[in-house]
Amino acid sequence: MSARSWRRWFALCAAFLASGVFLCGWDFIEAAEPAAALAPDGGAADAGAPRPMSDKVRITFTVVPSQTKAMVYWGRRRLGMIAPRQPLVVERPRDSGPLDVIVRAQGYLPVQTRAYTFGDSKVGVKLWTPDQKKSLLGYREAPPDAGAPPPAATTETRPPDAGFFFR
Amino acid sequence: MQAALRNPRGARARTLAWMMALGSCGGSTGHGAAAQSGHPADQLSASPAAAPAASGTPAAGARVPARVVSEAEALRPRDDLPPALRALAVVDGKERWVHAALAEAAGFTIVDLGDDWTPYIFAEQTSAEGAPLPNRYRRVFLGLANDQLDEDGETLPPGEKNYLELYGIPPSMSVLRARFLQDAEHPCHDEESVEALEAVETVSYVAPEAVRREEHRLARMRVELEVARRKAKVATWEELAEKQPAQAAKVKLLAKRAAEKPAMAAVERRLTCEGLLGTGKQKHQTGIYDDAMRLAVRRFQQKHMIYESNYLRKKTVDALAKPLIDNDYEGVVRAIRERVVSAAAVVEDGSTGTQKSPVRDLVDEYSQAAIQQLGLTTGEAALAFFKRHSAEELRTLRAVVKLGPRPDYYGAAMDLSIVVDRGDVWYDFPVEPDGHWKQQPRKHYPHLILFARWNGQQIPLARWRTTIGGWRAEQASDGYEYYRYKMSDIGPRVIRQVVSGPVWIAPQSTPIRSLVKPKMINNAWMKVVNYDELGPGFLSAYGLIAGYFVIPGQNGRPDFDNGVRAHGSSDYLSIYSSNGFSHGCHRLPNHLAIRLYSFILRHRKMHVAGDQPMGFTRQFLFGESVFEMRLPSRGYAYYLDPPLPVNVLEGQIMGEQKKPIIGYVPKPGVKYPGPPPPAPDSPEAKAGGGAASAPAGGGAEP
Repeated sequence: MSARSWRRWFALCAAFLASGVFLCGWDFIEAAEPAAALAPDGGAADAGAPRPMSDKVRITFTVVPSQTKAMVYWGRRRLGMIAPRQPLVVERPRDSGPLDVIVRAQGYLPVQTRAYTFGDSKVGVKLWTPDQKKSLLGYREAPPDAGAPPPAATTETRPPDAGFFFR
Repeated sequence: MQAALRNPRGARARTLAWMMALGSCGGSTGHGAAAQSGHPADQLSASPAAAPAASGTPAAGARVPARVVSEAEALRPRDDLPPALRALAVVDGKERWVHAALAEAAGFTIVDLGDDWTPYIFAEQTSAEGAPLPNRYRRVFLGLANDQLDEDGETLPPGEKNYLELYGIPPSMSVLRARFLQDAEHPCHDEESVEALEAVETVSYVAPEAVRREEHRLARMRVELEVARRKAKVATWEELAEKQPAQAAKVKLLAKRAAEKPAMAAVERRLTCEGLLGTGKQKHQTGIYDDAMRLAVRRFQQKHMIYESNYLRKKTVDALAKPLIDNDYEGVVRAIRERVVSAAAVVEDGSTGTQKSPVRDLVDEYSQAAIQQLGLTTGEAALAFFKRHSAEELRTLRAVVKLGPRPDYYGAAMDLSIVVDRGDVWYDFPVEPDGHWKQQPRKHYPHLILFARWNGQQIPLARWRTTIGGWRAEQASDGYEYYRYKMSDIGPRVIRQVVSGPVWIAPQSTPIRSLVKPKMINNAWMKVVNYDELGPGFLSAYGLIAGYFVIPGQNGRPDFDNGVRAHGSSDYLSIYSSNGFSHGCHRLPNHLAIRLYSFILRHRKMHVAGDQPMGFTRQFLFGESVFEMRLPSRGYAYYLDPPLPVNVLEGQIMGEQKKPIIGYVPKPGVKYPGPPPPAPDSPEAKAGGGAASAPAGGGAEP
């Protein structure tokens, strides 16, 4: 292959990589390589001498059942996908505040959960099908003579000025 | 000296040698009377772990040089010192930098005015072996005080303000400096507004939907009065009121409403000028107390630490009539007060006295002494101070003040105890069949009193309003809400464990609706678990600090924890309102709870256990979504050894019901699937306290 062809190949590869990064956005960069970098127990691969504290933390999201494909959303932003039996690993700046995320999977109820950024952490989320929701805390059956249960947020009559709070 | 100035390295080496020589003497001159009387309280609080690493919290915890240093020597100007070693003193009305350690050795108190000051409960601590024991919430506390972080510890958007003094987090000096400099440029104060506000005591609240109805009612009243005036053949309504006292109330009401209109306009002008109204997404309709106005008034009350409900009542109206600089100055006084209280390790705030027999108020006495000595006696003086000292300088600023002697009962291991007087107690079910609450008046409200036993006397140090349990909504196992009486236990207890930045593990009986809140995340509103309620945080159910009441275990048994705590709270109206109750715990405003436990920890033998990892998770259903609460830690624990005795007095039982009703009572008007299920009997469910699955008592801990 001539030097000119090499240059052409190199330019093509570079353009391909750049477009990939552009299309996938920063999620691609933040959602670092998943299972491969982890030890079998999901912890850090190197358990040797203590390393200086990194300025980033790694958050490992998994779901149960583990063969389920799920998406993790942080507000409008999609953080990434939890592939079957493959965790989603996200890097965040250390001590940058918690991540309130929603895990969505087809055929399951959405789950809102939180990941912290004090240090590396694992967030294992149990998913529930609509049929299983009876087992969850907070589920209630409708009273016998009513079509539907009363709304969750009831209006409570309070004594005047008692417990008045601005939240 | 000159050589030292020319050779800073030599100066540093000499300073270090000084410090080592002074430190090795091992004694203490510490603070005030403690120094003169050789109080061991100023030398140690317990194990070495108890000594805070943070500067400026020295009185009881830190090692202080022991060599006797003259005042003249201590106050020698030292402009050569780096910020870490120097402190600001005012001598003959002029500021100068002096050597902080020497000043402390000479009996001065070092007040930390720096931006990284926290109360003792969030100070940096180390283990007995010297390893750091970081407190997770310290970073958030500092971020909140400096307007850098929000309550979750996320970066605050530029220009946003926290205003959290009302919830126990005073602003840093840099924040106050910025406030002063900005307000000096925009006074937001005019005579017309002052006159309008001074003409009223309060501004009546009329709900937005009732405004038109109210206007019609007032118009009718005017017509009626006018007819009556003509009939009575008098010139004015005031004369009519004198002639016909039956009309006086109407005349008074119309006069009040007439005065309130310009007052309301003045409030709108002031809040708009102060940047609190018209800046949010809520639109304000002129003259109406709508949501935008309510939020602006709330922000104003938070900014100026006004304990009042969210209306234009007396204290709020008074503050609105004052010049901005005057309000800002009161903020500086309050901020200095908390730092002086922390530096001097005192708690006596005069709350145990009465008008007839006042007691010494060390909090005010010392704060005023510090303010006088620093020359911060007026708003103008404070403004000049902030103009002299840059934000950079304020980051590490410490001040040298001379405080009066502390009482003789002070020491390292004071014989302290707490008494909770429950006051008047009603057990009767308070809800009528139509859902309205019956009045259950109380003359005597619950109080928490801190005592020191000394020389055979029981000396009350502080006496504060607190809460006891009452009738609360609770979610039963069938998913429905019922009422249940939440009892505050009676009898002797102890506090073995004190937790700063505590986490409240909501018991399963907590109404689900209170566990979810909307939150803006990445420009999208989401429903999330309400961590505000769980903590750690100033809004948490346990506030910024909690002491756990337990019955000590006998014969090797663990302590019995019935879920009752004395803790900080942001729900101050539940503490000060005539109808306020808790779920069984004894609430204090956050800033008083911080003072209480900082004082106890610094005057009792204790050890720092540090962060208490927990890894608690619980999922629950709300609507058609699952919510998962994840609590990585229970908070930052301190253990008192020996524990602090507590006695909860029964109080005066009012009404017909002389014993608390056990179990659930259905809410009037709610349809239930069946009879109420049995109420759970676990400690956390009884009192609404934490400890759902984590060890809460001290028994299992060292």
